[in-house]
This record gives sequence, structure tokens and C-alpha cells, in this order.
Amino acid sequence: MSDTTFRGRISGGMSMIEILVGLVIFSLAMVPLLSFGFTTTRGTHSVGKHMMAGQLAASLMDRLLAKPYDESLANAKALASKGWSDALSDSLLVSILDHASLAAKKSEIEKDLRKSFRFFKTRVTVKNASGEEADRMFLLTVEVSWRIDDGSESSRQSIDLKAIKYREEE
Amino acid sequence: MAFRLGTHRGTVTVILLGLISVIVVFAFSLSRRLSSHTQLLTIGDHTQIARYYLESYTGDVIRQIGRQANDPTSDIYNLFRQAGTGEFTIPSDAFQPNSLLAGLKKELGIEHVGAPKINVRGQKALPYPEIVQLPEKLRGLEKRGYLSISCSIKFNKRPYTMAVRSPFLVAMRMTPVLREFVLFCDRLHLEQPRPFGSQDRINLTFTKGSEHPKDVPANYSAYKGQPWVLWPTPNVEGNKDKCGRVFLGADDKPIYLNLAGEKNFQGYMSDLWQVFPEWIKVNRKGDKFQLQPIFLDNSGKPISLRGIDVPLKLRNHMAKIGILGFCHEIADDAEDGIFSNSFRTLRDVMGPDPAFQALINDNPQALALASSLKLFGKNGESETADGVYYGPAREVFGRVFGRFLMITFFEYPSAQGGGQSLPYNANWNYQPPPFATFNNVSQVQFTPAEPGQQYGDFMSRVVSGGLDAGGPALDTYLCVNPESKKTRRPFGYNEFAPADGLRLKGRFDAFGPAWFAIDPKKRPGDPSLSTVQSRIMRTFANQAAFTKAVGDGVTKFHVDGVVYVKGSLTLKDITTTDIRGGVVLVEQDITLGNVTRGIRFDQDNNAMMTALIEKIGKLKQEELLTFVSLSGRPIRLAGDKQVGVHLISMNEKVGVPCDQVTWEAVKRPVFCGGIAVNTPNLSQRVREFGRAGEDPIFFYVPAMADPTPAVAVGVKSYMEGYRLSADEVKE
Repeated sequence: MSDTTFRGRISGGMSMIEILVGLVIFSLAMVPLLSFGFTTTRGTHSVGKHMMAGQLAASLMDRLLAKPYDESLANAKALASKGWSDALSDSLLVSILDHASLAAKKSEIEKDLRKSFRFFKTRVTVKNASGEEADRMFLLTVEVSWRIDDGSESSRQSIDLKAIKYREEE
Repeated sequence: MAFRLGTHRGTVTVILLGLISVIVVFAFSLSRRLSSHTQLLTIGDHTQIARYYLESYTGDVIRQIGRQANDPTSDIYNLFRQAGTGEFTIPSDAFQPNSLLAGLKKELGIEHVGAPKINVRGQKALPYPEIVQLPEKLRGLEKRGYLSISCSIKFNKRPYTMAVRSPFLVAMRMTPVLREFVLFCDRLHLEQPRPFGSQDRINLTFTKGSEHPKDVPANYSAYKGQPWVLWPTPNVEGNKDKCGRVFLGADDKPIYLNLAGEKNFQGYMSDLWQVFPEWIKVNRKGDKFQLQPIFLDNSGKPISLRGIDVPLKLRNHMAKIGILGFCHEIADDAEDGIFSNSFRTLRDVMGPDPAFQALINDNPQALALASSLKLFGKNGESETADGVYYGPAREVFGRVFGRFLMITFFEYPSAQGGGQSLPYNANWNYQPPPFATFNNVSQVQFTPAEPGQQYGDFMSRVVSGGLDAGGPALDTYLCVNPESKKTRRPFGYNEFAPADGLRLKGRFDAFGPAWFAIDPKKRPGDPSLSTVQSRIMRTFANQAAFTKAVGDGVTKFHVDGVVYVKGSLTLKDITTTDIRGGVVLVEQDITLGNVTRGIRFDQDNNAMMTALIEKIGKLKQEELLTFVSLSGRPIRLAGDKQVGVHLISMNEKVGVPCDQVTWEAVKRPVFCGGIAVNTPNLSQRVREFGRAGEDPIFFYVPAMADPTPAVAVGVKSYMEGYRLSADEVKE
């Protein structure tokens, strides 16, 4: 009899209560896990954008610094006059797509580029030196801002780089 | 049984707890990963910021070193100017951050770790063309090397260091060899393919009354003009270096300059002082030239000329030697000439001298025309105590000969008409027939005092006539060089020994092509070249870029080295005193305004001359400007006042006389410096100077001949060997 009872209880498995309690505990554990996973994924996405912003700022800065002084100043002032502008309005960035080696996958890359830099904006500012050094150097600031959350303008973050451009003849 | 059941239930709990533990570990690792991403991102951002700051920092160091290297007031000025190629360290206090960098440093919260470390390394002496013989003391004065710069900072508690190399070049501010010359013409022979008639385009200056009058007789209108007088620089006339040299080439081509004659002994513009008494070989006693009666005119009045009396063998027998320069007074059409009141004519006296015949046959007016190049300024005899004037110490290189006429009369007791002329004879050993005494009472024989003396040593002739077969007979020609007069040999490149010790191993006319050769396949500053091309520090695309870089000439004009300007160059007046010199190489034409250096040329003549002489005495080689037209195209002087300027226009393809330096607007040309051209095109220059309201003034600037050449330092603004590290900084 007792054997029968024992077998019967075993074959009956865990009680409903036990299963429910187990599910509740599991669910409670999964909520923060999923939430954390979501946050992590978003963070990784954000890190990627941040890195892209840094690269974009550095490439713009390097391009301006590499030019002869007068040309650099003229270009920087032209960019500065635009204020914040769409990263994709940078003709050089877009013109990279015209490179022969990218011809085969141009549309794919263009699509990817437009998607990646959709909410990126750049701004260049120029600060002239004063006094005797006025015509010999200027401070160049390149800022890049982007949306952490593509859907929210208020989620914008920015990075800025600063460097001094000197007249070559000096 | 209870035990078994209890065990089963515990298993579920353990599974759940295990599951939760895995979740917690997983969550923790995710958290760590995210945290490390953020940290990496922060480091990346900071590294970028630090990198750009360090680039700005090192850029400022390079810029400041470059500026201070050419600033005489800087402590590092002399460090680059030591001959040799050793390494050295630049004192760290040479650097002070500019205001923008200081502001950026403060804004970013950056801390400088110590001063920048600046070392000069890898110096190599610049090579020279084969033709140049460099003295040991100048070896390594011109060189290239690099600045090794290391700058360290701390940013957000992390150390960053940037190490870069910046190449530099040290080159002379003036052109070697050529700077030693007030006038260098390596193809002047093109203006005198034959020293007679229309082929002689050097001897074009009408001379009368010991002057070169601005107004000429109507029949001489083709020769209206003024000579190019190279005045000896005041106060340094006796210094052969500071006087400035002259080269008239080509090296192997003779140039004949007609010495200007005189109406009156020791005339102001007479060149006859250049004939030293010692040059007359038969003047064994070394008598000085004096105003001597040489022959008699129709009225028995003695005609006195610059001359000497040379005693002959017999007592009271005398050779009366007079010398004549080229002037209207010896020309046939001179009404008040030396021979105008005499039954003698110059033609008779000179005899069949082929050079004399060529002179008067090719151009009957030639006797009135002196050289358009006056290499020693005016005649200073009247200002010397004993009347013996040796002239300035200016050295003249090239086969340059002074042409003049020597007339000789044989005077003896009872000579008819005051003596018999000894005309030219092709036979140097000619023995003239006996001369009759008054009324043919007796005859006397011309007999030199010493056995070695020959008729040719005495006879009338054109000295340095230019018609000797086989070239000039040096012994009987007059070299236009104070030193050569003693040696009787012209000065060539072997005798060229400037104060800086930089000599030549080959001909002067080979220097220009060797130094100014530009290889279009090589870049400016190419270290493999030994020419001026390897010394180019900066290249400008056009004159606008050049003037923007060096200054407008009103506030400053800083060339600082050897620079290259593409195309042509037109410069307005440079009036500033803040001039830092250098060599401006221009592809094509050059037009240059005034270079006044603060001198007022509108004041009265005496005050202006005082200011000018004082200025050129004080000018330093560092302040002198050299303009070079590499194509040999004209350098047009739109202004007529240039002080401290060296003009060079040379091209090895020049085969005919052409304008290489021209004066466009002439009131009174004042030029202080040097000119080097293939051909000056003298006939044009003489006309230009003739249009001037007052006599042109040309002086050499003594500093051009400094024993130690001035150099400029060109520090390249780009960086090589770029290294950025985020390692611990060794302080």
C-alpha cells in the first residue's frame, strides 16, 4: 500500500504549486537578465556610434590640417559658416563611393553609409590667434554629434576635437 | 520514504538556485563587458584629444625653433651657424607656448611634463659643384639635418608622449663666388667680337675735357649717354675684398677698354692714372708721370702731356714719352685738340700701327670714345699728396686690357721742331735711320741707353691695340688690374682668393651654369644635388604667395634663405628697414621697385650721400637681398634706388648681347650691391644712364665680402618619424 502511494506520488510529479513557484522565480530572474541584455545591446550600439563619431571627427580634422594654411583656413571658415550640418552633406565622405574599387558594391555601401550616418552632424569652428600671431595660426574645433537613440533627438551626444593649424612658412 | 521525497523536492530548488546563479554570473559578465567598452571608448577619446594637442604642441615647437633660428637676438641663433655637423641640444627655455596653445592646455586640463626635448641630429654637409673649392673652415656651414623633438603631457592622469623629426636646411643667404663681385659679366666678349668700329659695343662714351659730358656734339649724337661708373666704396678703397671685384669674360676672351683721356693733366674722369710709370719698361729709374713737354706746336710752344723723359745712350739725347687716352682732344675733328695747332698729326706720329689704323678706319670717331665701363670710379690723383694715385684695390678678373696711345719723340740737341717722332714699326728691333739736326748740320742716331732696350719699347703705338697675331702680347699690353700691372699678367680664377676662402677650381664662366642648374626632374631642396636647387628652402606658386610670406616691404621683408618663385615676380618699393636677406630664385622675369632701407633720397645731395655711405657701411650680409632670374630673362628696375641688392640674371644659352638688367625709370640711379649677368648690353645701359637727370651711383656693399658667409636656417613645418605613445613618461 505504502509502495503504491509512493509510486502514485512520484508518477504525479511536481505539484502545480511547485511548478508555478518555479516559473515565478525563473521569470523574476529573467526580467533583469533580459533587461540587462537589452541595455547591453543598446550600449554596444551606442559604443559603435561613438567610435564612428570619433573617426568622423578625426578624419575631418586630419583633412583640414593636411591642407596648406590658407586653404585650410578657407575651408574651415566655409564649413564653420554652415554651423551644424549633416555628415552626409560632406561631399568628400560621399565621394569615397565613387572610388573604382567600390563600384561593384556602391549601392550597398551607399545604403549602409546613409543608414549608419543618418543622424550624424558635424560642426567646425575657427578661432583666430590675436596680436602678432593672428595670421600665423588658428584653433580648429571639429564637433560631431549623433543620436544614441535613433528615434529621439533629445538623445544626442557629441564629441569634439581641437587642434592648432600653423602657417607653414613659419 | 520521507527522506527520498524530501531529496526530490530539494533538487528543484537546487536547479532554480543554479539557474539564478548562472543568470547573475551572466549579468555580471555583461556588465563588465559594457563597462570595459565604456572605458575603452573614454581612453580612445582621450587619446585622440591628446594626439591633436600634442600635434599642436610639437607644431608650435617647430615653428618657434624655425623663427628663432633666424632671429639674431635669439639664444639659438648661433647654434645653427657653427661649421661642422655634430649633434647638439637646443635649450628647453627656447620654447614658450603660444597663446592659443596655452588656452587649449587650460581648457583641456592638460599638464606639460617637463619642457620639450629638442636635439639637432643627422647633420650632413651640403655638397658643392666640382668647380668650387671649399675651405675647411666653411665645411659644414651649409648643411641639412633634423630636429628631434619629444613633447610629453599628462591628460586625465594618463601620460602621453609624441616624438617627431623635423628636417632643416642651413644655406648661405647670398650666392657664393658671385657675391664677391660688384660686376660679373661672363660673356661680355659678345659685345666686342672685334675691338674696332661697329663691332666694339663697349667703348662708346664720348669724352671731352676730362669729362663725359651729357650733351655731345651733333656728330656724336649716336654716343649720347653716360658710362657705367663703378665707384669704389668710400672708406674701404684699399681693401680688395670690401671694394668688390669685377669679372669681364669669358675667361679666355680679351676685352679692350679704352682708357679715357684728358684735356688737363690729372683730369677728373681721366683713366690715364691706370698706366703706372713702372709699366713703361724703359723707365728704369722709376720716374713718375708728370706734365711733360712732349713736342712743339706751330708757334714753338711746347705741348705738354702726361709723360716721362727717358735718357738715351748719348748725353742730352732723350726719348720723350707721352701717353694719350681716348678723348675728343685727339680726334681729327677737334678744334681745340692737342694736335690742332701743330703741323704734326696723330696719324703721322702713330705711323702705320695696324691697331691705330683699324681704330680710325673702322670708326673715325673712335678716338673720342672711352670705355663705357669705368671700373675704378674717378681719377684720384689730384687728391693724393704726391700725385701718385694707385686707385682703389679693386681686382679685375678676366683678360681685360686698358687701351691707350703712347707717342714718343726723340729729342736731341739741335733737333728740328723740338724732336723727331718715333712712329710704330712692325719690327720691334727696328733701327731708324739717322735723324738730322737743325739745318742738316749733322745727324744723330737713336740709341737706347741699355743693350736690352729695343726700338719697340719706345715707339709710338696703341698699347693693348687688339690686333696682335696670336692674341695679346701680354708683356706689351696693359692689364686692367692694380695687381696685374706689376705681374703684367691678367687675373684668372687661380688668383681669385676672397676673404671667405671659397675659391674656384675652374673658369669663372663655368660657375654660373654649375651653380644655377635646375633639374626639372628633381624637387627643390633635393639632397642629391650640389647646386642652388638643393638649397631651396621654400617654393612659392606665384608672387602673391611670396609677398604674403615675406612681407609687403613696408613693414617687413623677411626672405630668410633660398626661396623659389614660380613664374615672374613683380615687387613694389621695399622701404622698410626690417629686411632679412636671402636668395630669391625666379623662373622668369623680375620687376623690382626701389629698395631704400629707410634712406630718404629726396633730401639734398650731400645729406643723401652721407646717409647712403653710412648705411652701406653698416649693412650686414644677413640683410642683403639677391634676386636671380634663372632663365636669364630681364630684371627690370622700375625704381632707380636699390640699396643692398644683388641682381643675377644668367643663362648658359645666351649667345648674343641681351638686356638682363634694365633701368626703366631713371632720375638718378643709385645702386648699392652687385650685378651678375652674361652680358650687360652696354650700349643700352649707356643710353639709359644718359637719360638720368644726374650721374648714376654704383657702390659695392662691403658686407657682401664678409669672411664668414651669412646663412639662414629653414626648418620644414612637416613632421617625420611621427610616434605617439601612451607609456609612462620618463621624467
